Amino acid sequence: MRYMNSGILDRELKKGSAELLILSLVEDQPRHGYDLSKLIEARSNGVLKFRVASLYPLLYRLEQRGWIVGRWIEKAGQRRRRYYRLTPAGAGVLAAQRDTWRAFAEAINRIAGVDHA
Amino acid sequence: MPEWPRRISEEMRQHLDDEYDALRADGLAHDEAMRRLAGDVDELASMRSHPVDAMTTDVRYALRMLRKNPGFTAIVMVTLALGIGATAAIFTLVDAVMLRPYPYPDMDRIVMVAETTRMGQMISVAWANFQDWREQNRVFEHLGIYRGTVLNLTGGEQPERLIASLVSSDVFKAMGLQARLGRAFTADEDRPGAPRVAVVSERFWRSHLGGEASAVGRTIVLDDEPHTVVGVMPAEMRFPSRTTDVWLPVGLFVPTFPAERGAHPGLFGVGKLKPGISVTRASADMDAIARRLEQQYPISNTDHTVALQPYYEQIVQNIRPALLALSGAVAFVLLIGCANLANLMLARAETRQRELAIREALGASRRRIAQQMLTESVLMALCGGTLGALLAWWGVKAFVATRPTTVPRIDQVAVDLRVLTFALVVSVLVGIAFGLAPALRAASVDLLTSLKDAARGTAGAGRRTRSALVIAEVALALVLLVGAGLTIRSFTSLTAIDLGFDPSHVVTMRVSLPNARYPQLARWSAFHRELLRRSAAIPAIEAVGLNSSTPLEGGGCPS
Repeated sequence: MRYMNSGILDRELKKGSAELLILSLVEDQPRHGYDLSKLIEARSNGVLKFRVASLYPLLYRLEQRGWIVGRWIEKAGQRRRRYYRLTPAGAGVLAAQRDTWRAFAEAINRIAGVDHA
Repeated sequence: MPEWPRRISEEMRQHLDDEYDALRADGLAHDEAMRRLAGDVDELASMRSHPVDAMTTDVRYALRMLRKNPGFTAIVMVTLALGIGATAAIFTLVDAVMLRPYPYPDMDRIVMVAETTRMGQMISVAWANFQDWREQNRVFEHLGIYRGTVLNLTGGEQPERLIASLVSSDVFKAMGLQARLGRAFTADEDRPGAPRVAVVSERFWRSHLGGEASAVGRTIVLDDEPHTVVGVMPAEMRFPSRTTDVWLPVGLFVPTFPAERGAHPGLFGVGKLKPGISVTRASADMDAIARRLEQQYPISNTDHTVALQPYYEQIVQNIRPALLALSGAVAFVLLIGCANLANLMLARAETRQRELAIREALGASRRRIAQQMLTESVLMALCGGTLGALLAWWGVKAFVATRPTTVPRIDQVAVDLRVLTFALVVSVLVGIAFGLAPALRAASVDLLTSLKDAARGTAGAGRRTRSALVIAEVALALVLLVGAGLTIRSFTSLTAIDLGFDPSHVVTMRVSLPNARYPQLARWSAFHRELLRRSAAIPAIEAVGLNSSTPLEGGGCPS
């Protein structure tokens, strides 16, 4: 068996976690797409970064599933932006994804001893 | 149409504007900010679905991919340039020699006619036999006869040796070309004792007669006899040879031919078949005549018949095997190149599978992804093809410069629009050929398996395709190698033949004396003795000799 190289692992982790990240960030307050991408980049110290071409289709898909809902808001002196907020259904998914992710991370920790390394 | 594409594109535009503003706020110049955004912009543009836009975007995206992998791009370009270049170069030859139409109307009806023994040995035509053939045949529209010779042109500053052809007036009719100026000779001029006339080539007309219309009617002195120029043949007239300077009526020379039927004075026939008459049917007709002559003249004609060969066949018969072999070889080289590139592309497609899976997840259709992969490979093929055309141009030029004498129409061998079109078509086909496997795989890839494969390593189907390609490549290369090896062996054994003499520092020259001035053997011999004596006196000459033909030349036929 060949091992996944770290680049692939990296990408897959990011992909798997993308939904979780977005749902988490709109949990407390509505945010627009640019705000989301900057927050993800800043809070991950640049480790996680979304391309424009992947972020907005993802937001669209989440909205289609009914996990988030978007609304155009126009502020004085600014162009209109679409703000997304979490729906009750999304909140349920977020809780479930957090549990899954936590369980997964703990399992990895127990085996790989990442915390004690 | 759902609302989302417009909505998403507005959000994305907004995002790019925000990013641009942020970059400018960080102190970046406009150009630099745009450069940083270029990747996103291209990626977004490629998601649009308008076909023309999509094509432009694909090309731009493909160019970016090529620039990003210079090593890969270089390997692909060199492989393609060699494969397409070699193919285009050989096509140039095949096109000039075999495919391009010859200038003679109804070329497929022009046949060469020779006398042959029933054992198949070809001999030249006896004058008396030709007369009977011409009278008795029912298959030829025109049947003519010709013989090559050399003549001395005098009257200028110094005598000059001309390549001449003695032809019957039917030869021009059989070849079907009109004189460029004046006319060909008539049947009346083509008989013993007729006033001496000549038809000259366009080349001779330009070099010796000033290329003027008044050249018709002028007199030139050939072998001490004045001849009136009655016509100028166009440059397309290359019969019997492209070097022919002047055509004279063969009828004038009939008295010099041996009278007996058994003598074969170097004449050969050329005819144009009547419409609808096949070569087989004509051969049968001529054979019937030959059998009648056999009964009439058993001493001279026993076991003699007539051999017909289409003129086109005669031109290409010697070069065709070589051209076919070369075409096969370059086709193999191109195929190996394609297999190699398909392999490289597949390997690369595997490393790009995640990229493709993500694109698909974002809404790009599989067809769209396949189209983009094909655009990439066709673009590479076109770039490689351009390099290849340059290589072909250079190679063909170098080849023509060696002045190979065995290639018909060598002066017309050049990379032209036809060859470039051919190279273009080959490039596109090659691009599709080596891009198809990766594109098909890209079209059939699905996100889930792609992710699983990422964990497992290489995909099974991909590995099988690539193994098959490698096997095909090795097989083709082996055939090519064996062919090349055999050719080299033939060549080395040919060059290893001991000539029995040392050809270095040896030069030859040809001399022909006009019969009118040297009718007796004694005068003729005296001339040659004097030639030898004076040549031997030249300090730079070590030894000098005379012969009717040069070693290895065979025969004694002037050429």
